Amino acid sequence: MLPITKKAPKSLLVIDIGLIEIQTHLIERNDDVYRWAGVGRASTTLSMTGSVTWKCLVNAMQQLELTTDHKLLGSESEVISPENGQGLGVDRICLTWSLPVSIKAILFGLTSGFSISNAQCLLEGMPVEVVNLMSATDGRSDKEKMDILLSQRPDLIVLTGGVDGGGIQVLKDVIDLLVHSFTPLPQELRPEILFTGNTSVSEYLIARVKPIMKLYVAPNIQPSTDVLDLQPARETLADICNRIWMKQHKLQTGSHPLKYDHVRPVTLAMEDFITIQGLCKKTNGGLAMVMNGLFTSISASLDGHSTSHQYLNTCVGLDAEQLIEKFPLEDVANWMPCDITRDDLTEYLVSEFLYPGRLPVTGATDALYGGVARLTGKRTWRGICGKQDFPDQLVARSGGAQVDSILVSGPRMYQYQNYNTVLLEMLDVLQPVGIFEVYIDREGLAAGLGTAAQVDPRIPVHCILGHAVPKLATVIAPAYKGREDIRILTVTVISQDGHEITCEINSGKLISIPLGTDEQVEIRIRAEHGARLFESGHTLKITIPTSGSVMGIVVDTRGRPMKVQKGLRKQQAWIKRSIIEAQEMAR
Amino acid sequence: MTARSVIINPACRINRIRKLPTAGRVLVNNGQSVTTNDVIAEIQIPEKHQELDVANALGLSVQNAVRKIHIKPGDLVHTGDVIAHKGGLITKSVTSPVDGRVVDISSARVLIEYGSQSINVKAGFSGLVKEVIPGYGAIVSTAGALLQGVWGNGRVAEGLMICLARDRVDELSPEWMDMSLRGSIVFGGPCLRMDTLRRAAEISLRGLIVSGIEPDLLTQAGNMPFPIISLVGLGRATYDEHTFKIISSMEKCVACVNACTWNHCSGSRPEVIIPTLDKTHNTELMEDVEYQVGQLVRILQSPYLWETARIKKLIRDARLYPGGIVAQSAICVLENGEEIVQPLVNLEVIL
Repeated sequence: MLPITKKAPKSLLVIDIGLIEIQTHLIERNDDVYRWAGVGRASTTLSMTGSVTWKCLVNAMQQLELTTDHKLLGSESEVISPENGQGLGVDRICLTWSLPVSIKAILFGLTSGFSISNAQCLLEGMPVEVVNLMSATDGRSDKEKMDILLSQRPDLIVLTGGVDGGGIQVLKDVIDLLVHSFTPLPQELRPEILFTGNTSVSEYLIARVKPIMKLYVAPNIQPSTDVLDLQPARETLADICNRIWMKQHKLQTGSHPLKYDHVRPVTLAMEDFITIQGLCKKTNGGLAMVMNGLFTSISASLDGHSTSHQYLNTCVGLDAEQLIEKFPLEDVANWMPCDITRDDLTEYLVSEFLYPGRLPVTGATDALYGGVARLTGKRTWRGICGKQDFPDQLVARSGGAQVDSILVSGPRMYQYQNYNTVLLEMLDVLQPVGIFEVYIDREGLAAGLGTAAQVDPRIPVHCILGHAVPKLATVIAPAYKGREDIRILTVTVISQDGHEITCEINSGKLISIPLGTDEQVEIRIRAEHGARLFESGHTLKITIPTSGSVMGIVVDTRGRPMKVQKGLRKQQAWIKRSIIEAQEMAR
Repeated sequence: MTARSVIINPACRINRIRKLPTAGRVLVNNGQSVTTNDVIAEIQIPEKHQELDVANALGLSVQNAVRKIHIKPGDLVHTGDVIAHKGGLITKSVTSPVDGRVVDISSARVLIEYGSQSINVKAGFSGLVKEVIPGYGAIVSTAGALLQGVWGNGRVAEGLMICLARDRVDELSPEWMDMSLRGSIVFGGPCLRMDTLRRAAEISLRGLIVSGIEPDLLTQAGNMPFPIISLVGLGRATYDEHTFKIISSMEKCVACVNACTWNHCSGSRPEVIIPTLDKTHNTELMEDVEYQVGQLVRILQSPYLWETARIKKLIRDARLYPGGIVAQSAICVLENGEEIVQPLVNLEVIL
């Protein structure tokens, strides 16, 4: 349960520190309702010692002052807190971060199978680089393991294994091994230990480890053979990451240290947001896709459990050659509307590696950006589908997403003039099936609201209900595997005054039916010729209410899974047609 | 808007903090002069472990073997020191094969840690120790030219600088490299062939600075025994006039090459420092800079990738580009006089 503070803050400053950009959001309470007041942005800059410079923080806040007419900074650039009058200072400050720090972790499990894979699930989407996997049964001698532990100098050891009440001797041996390995090191070089295994060994662990290393004990992630519960341990892990992050980036404004009330890694904050959004919208789980080119990430939430995945983990030091290997020309070319050469792709990847966050300014670079972003997105989605048990329920048999709501977020939301490209990219990547709502985080607020929930869960709720994260479209995407250009859907939109518009839609199309922002309508949908409205079952007819949104009703009859056309030319023509259709939708 | 920036400056004052991650031994004093490879501070930590199975070696049960062990955890042992001894008709001993420290004894197995690995920080350039940070390191200072790059192979060196770049764009060719370059720091154009790296290793260059390097060569370049820095970009990146002019004017000076990797998260960047005798330079620009009219900028996006230009005008309203992007932009004038419009985030200010 999220905590509710006794005294609700009147104003809240949310700071989101990313690799490229710092965003500051102001949330104000008026008549007991929280509302989002505005955003300020500035490029992230780092000092030679690796900490975020105070000036870029101040720049972002000054911009926020301009957009909201709310004074935040004092004469020495310190944040005025608490709020001491109308429009002066803020009561609370929350921080969320995706600017990575180097947190090297070694996973140590009881067995090479379950324990290690559970630990990998635990670290999924967390800002941590796994540098080695070890287990009591991996065949390496204690001497070899100790040599590795010493030579790799991890920042964190995640120790898992055993069900509660199970045998403890092997775990005790592992604990002894860790103690022996790190005792000779100076205190600052000893890693922190996160234990999430058999609780029966906790007493021994605390007695042996606590005197020499920082120890965190979280509930067992697998308390019994049929239960895997990662959430409590993820929270502890997030705390550890927060602490290491704050140590690296000693945040200041002017000569004053920045004092904050809550801090959260952006992936977890995003998961919190979609969980709360799901509760507000009464949906059965949701997805958030943070569209950021090579660094696209996806978060999923279902029944209070959540996870995230990023294909290119920003914490892992990739090199340019690896990047080129991961994106072969044939794979990228399949998602582009035009020809590219290997040299074009290589140039794009290496310059993106050196200077992330650049913007494509020509049609060709934009197409390349889109191709690489789709491939990254698809791999991220595949990664999230393969890692955990629970998102299976969010995955349709065709491999696409099967959810009631999808949030699209990331810098593309405020970098593009309209959202057609964004919607198309999401549809291509997730290939969602059924009838679902798409929300757009156009100001990059979602992660901040997820963190703000730590202060008061009403803050995100009020902002969601106040349309701070508006609906982009109601999307209808039937399951269909047949030929193109056959009538498969009849959609009738019935307005409140009884006026009806009927559209017959052929397969292979992407069209929109605009609605007024506040319009309330009913949609009557009939599927035929092999199309089904949902992945499971044989629903052919349905009538549902919906409301207006930025793009209205969007119908995607391009099939699920989308067919990769035979031959590159045909595939390019198909991609090009989708892009044109998406552009038409915007008009 | 805060600008991306890179320092390519012919005359500035340079201060760098060289610090250990944990307290260790500082090897320099205030005011001391240091050279590129001088160690500022170091700490030794153990490296390896040796396990001795006493029961097996003595041919005894575990219980009996434990009683024959003469040492305890924490003891220092030297090679040949007796760890366990069995008397009687046939005597047997177990001796330490290494110099080290006993870490643990359990089930008649003795674990000894030995060897040491050094964690140290080097000066990275020739200069003076401005301030010692007790236990951790020092601030090293010098004045001279500073050229920051985009890629480095993690090595440091210092040597006489020889410019092999005949003009701004010529590829660095192995045919230009003869034995007279041995021990020098060579500046060249883009390195696009493996032969070039091989030749550089054959003649034992002290360091290699190129304008660009083919991405396929990065692994081999990473394994070279001397520092390599790519100053402008990756691939066929060429020098701009500003950088080329600085390099050309510094021929036969001593260059200090710190080819650390460019880490966006820690702020470290590969750099070449060419110290000069004139110590009156201003401090390098370390604070955030804003985009301004007249600034020299490097363009970071195709079709003008790695070219330089001057900002002519900052456009007040966000501009719409063909792909649908809307961004704060500037009108820039390329070296050939052509005017282009670019989003500010695609520009890196050269300081």
